[in-house]
Amino acid sequence: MKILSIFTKQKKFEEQLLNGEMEYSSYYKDSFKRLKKNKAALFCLGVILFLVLLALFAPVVSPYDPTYQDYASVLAPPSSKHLLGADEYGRDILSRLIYGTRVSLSIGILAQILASVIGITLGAIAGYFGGAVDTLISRIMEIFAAFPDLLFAMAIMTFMGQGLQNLFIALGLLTWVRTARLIRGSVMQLKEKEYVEASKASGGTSFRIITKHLIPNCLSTVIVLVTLGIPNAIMYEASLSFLGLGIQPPTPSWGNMISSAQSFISFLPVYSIVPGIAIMVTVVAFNIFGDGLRDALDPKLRA
Amino acid sequence: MKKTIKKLISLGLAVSMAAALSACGSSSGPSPTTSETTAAAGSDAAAENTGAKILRVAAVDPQVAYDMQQYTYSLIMKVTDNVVESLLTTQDGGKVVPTLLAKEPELSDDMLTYSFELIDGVKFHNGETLKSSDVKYSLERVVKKQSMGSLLEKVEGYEALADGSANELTGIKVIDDTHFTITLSEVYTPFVSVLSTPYCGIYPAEACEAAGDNWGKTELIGTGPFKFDSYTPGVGVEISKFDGYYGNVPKLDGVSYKFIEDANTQVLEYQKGNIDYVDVETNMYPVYQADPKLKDQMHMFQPIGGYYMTFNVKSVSDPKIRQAISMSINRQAICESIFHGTAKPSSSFIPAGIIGHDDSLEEFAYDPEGAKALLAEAGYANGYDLRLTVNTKYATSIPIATAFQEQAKAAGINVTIEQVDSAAWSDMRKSGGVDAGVGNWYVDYNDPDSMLYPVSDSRTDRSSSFWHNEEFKKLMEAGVQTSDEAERQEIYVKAEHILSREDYAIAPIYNESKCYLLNPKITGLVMDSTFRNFYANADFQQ
Repeated sequence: MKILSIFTKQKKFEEQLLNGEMEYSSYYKDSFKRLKKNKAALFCLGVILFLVLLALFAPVVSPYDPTYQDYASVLAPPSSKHLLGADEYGRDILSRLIYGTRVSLSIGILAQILASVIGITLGAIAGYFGGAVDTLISRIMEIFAAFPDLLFAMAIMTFMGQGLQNLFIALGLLTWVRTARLIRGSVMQLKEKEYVEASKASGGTSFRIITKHLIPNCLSTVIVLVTLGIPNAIMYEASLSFLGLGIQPPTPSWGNMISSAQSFISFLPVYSIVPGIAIMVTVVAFNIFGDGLRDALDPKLRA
Repeated sequence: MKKTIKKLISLGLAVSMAAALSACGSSSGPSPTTSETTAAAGSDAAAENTGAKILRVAAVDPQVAYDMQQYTYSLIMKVTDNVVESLLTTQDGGKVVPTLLAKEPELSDDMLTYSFELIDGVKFHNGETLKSSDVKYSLERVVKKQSMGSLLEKVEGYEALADGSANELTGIKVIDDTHFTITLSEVYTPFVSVLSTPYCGIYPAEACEAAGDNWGKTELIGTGPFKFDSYTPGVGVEISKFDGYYGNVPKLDGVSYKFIEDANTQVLEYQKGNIDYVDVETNMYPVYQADPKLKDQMHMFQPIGGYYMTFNVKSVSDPKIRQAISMSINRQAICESIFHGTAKPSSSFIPAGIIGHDDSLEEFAYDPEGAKALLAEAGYANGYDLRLTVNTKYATSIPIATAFQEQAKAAGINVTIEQVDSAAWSDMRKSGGVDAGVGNWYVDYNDPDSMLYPVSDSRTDRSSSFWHNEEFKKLMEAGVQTSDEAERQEIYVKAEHILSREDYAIAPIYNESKCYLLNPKITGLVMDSTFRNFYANADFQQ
């Protein structure tokens, strides 16, 4: 009975398609439809958009300059003047939190872009050419992957000095290996496909095949990797800033806010809790959205 | 979705773990003798069970030898003050009293030769008897080790020993085992006070020479009330009562210094009852003041000295710029708000309580507009970039720098804060790599000569300052050759004026009170303006 029903379903599809009752839709359109059904992921997308807007309009939204020291309100608890209180220099915690969004998001996104550029380039080259090139690139990846993540980032930061740009580079160098490995695997699979052979037969160069055929076909993997990589980068930034190796004062970042707040945890709990919640919300939002995106882009993976 | 749930669970676990960790800090109050000890301090756990009186002090690992003749960190002094003694001691109020001497030193009529008599039969911890030759050896070692050698530059023969052309300090003459004289090359009134500093501590010549580089690490012998048992890097230092002490044998059986790097953790350990004495950062004052339990256990004292900003006159060469920087420090705000009134804005480098302090001086005003005008005169109408280096081991310098960074904006000064650790800080100062820094200095004896030591002519090339001023140098020399107080006052007021209001070689910031928490069961332990850590009279009240 079951087998029969499948056959009838197939027949129905064909009929519908012929009669124009069913529309053709692209891969990404399909994915978007699937994503729309995932309410949790959509909600998280909303949260992410909200954070992005907050970061973009930080100067408009925040009530104070994040470095302005209001000496009358040193370590003041939340009040109508300072909604989330003021820190040990009398700086408005809410304003610093809002400006911290800029640092966290830009670090997350830029570090992932850097990681993706390195990862895709090296991964695709290794996967497509194979042989000695593959061996060389794979060994480099293994060397990079052999260090404990945080220690490696700390070493890079100590070596290059502190600062925002160096933090991008350190986190980019830390995470490109994962991208490269996945891309290498996909490319090795894809290069056996007929359309690659066809392109080769009609005289396509390796560069053209990689850029026109292989990478676009890996794009869904990359999108998922980037969204899932952003929260990691945010966490690393927070950890490094907490350890005093990341963002330098007075630029506010969630990590260095928690770091300076830890001394006052019993006196002004809100000071350390609020940036902690901010990190948590951002990381959870990106993770759930990233998971949803993966489910949507790759129906085969659906559990 | 499975993965998401997993992530949420692990997040929940992390949060609850953090909560559990922070809960550790708020358990029972201090209980000195029966408390649990950390695994690291296992060796003295047994002693505590038998009722031994061990004072537990929170400390920071200096990572160098416990030898004040080589390293001048106050972290080291915390231990050595109880193990090694100098010939004399400066008390609260500035009075210098003999320690190892039978009586006060006698000064010859030409004011150049001092005669000393040692107490008979003072024993070192290794059983040797203190002799005049040990004193000569120890003082020569101060010069050879260089760090604080210039303290003795007025002793005859200093130059020859310092440059290596001689191997003894000819000014020190041993008469017999308990008598010796020290001759100076020129009149130097604070000399007796110099001998009271911890840098002039007396070591047994043979043992010290035999120990070589291990001196202050595996072995440290003095005449003090406690003997040095062990130094375990990263763990702590143990010292115990010296029964053969010539004075009053201490009531404590020993002192256990426990290395805890983080200031916050030190206080948490105190709250748990694992520590009896802990120094407290002054910007944390309101936090502990708000805690009803800690409030009454917090004590304050005022060391003579304070925090100031140093300038490298090679890179910040125009005095106008230095004046502008000094004018853009809002000292009032730093003291009142960031340090919650525990500090007072300085009006001079020489603090109140010693000769040379001028009560009539006006406070340094915060005047960003005036600073801007000065910078424009100096050719920096469009703003000035300043790199300010701070040593993270002195945690207080960071809030000072952070506050100044914002305050200086109004004057068009862009401050970049460079945070370095103690080792890098020492290197940078030696190599002249600090453009501007936050420093602190406290007198070793109540004399302006001790206060002005960091800006003295022979010292500035080694502290990345490079400031030299002929008139100032002459005044410093005149100051130590004059014994009349009124005259000295006049000389040092002039010197102060050149230093902080004319050449702006440094910018005094504030004079602070220091805080510490002390287990209320302990008596006889008081920190005072001398900033020395003597635990010989401390006792546990049962």
